[in-house]
Amino acid sequence: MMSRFDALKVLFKYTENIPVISSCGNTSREWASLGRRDNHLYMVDTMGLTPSVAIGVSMALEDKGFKKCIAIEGDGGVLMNPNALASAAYLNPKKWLLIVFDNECFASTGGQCSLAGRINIAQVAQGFNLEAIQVEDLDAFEHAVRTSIEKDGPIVIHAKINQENQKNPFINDDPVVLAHKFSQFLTQ
Amino acid sequence: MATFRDLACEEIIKGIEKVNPDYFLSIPCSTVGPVIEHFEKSDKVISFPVSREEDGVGIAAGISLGGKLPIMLIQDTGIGNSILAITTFVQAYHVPMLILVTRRGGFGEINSAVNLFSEPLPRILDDAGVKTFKLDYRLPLKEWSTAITQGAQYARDTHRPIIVMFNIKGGAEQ
Ligand SMILES: Cc1ncc(C[n+]2csc(CCOP(=O)(O)OP(=O)(O)O)c2C)c(N)n1
Ligand SMILES: [Mg+2]
Repeated sequence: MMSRFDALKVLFKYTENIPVISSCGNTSREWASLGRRDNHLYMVDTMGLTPSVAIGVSMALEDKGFKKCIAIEGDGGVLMNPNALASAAYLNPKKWLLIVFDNECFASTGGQCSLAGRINIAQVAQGFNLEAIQVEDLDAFEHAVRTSIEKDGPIVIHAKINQENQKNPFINDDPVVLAHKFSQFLTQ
Repeated sequence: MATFRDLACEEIIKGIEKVNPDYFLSIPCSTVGPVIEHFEKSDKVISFPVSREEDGVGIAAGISLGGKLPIMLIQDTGIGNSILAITTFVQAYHVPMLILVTRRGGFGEINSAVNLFSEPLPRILDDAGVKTFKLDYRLPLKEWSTAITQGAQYARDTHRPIIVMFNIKGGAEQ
């Protein structure tokens, strides 16, 4: 099974000019360790909100050149705020791509068991009438990312990953700076 | 004869139209039904419901980061559903956003539970440092639309969430 870090490395290759919003905890830390870019928005807290913010960005960017706005979220985060799935189903944001890294645990806080071991998140997304692609290995993940970027959304990629965390420094930048860079990237 | 509520709703509609947002997000409160119905029919603004205020705050924040203007209208208990998003995202990341909030609790309230959140809410928001302007019967209704436009401007100028709260039931300060 792939690690979150392996999958993020793949995603990094394809998203040089695509806004990407990453969830709190190890996801943002691993993502930032690959290289800081202004098209990244690192969430330092507000667990579960990443997909919602990405819906808003996708809507605001409807007439702009960006192909997508990508949200990276964990299984814990998605199940904390499944409301974003409802909104994506209702609003039908064409540029919204949600990548769920599902390790069936709260890896960032030490690997405690989450609810995802007994819930299939791809099926939950499909239950909301969303297109969902389930992947279990790196090749399938890469293929899903490449094709989803070229296609109208909303799309959910449900990626099963192992429970590994990379050791990376905390992101304790001033959030104002993080938001400013991202917003400038989107609107200039 | 038009009631205080009817007139208040007209003023709120007028204020929102003066701000001319790109998006109008809402979860209804019985007191402002006419406002939401008005924007559902409007072709000048994209109006949509959300399922939970926390999600709405996230969506509105994304819209704002993307350079468009959102306004969200919710009842005050919805702040309870979204205060973490308002503080640790909107406030922390300096995202400008106007949130219009209708007041529950206090004289005229018949619900036997909401008072337990609505009454302490102003103190909760003060402690959290979320700037809130409160409109009630003491501010002439004809000033309410101006308060809404100023709230939107203040959110932009001070780079943060601004709450404008309306007590439409009238009566004494809670
Ligand atoms: C409201 C709230 N509760 C708890 C936490 C602590 N917390 C931070 S990251 C995290 C785990 C997130 O799990 P998941 O979304 O599955 O991501 P993973 O770390 O497994 O990749 C938790 C519980 C938090 N940040 N916010
Ligand atoms: Mg997890």
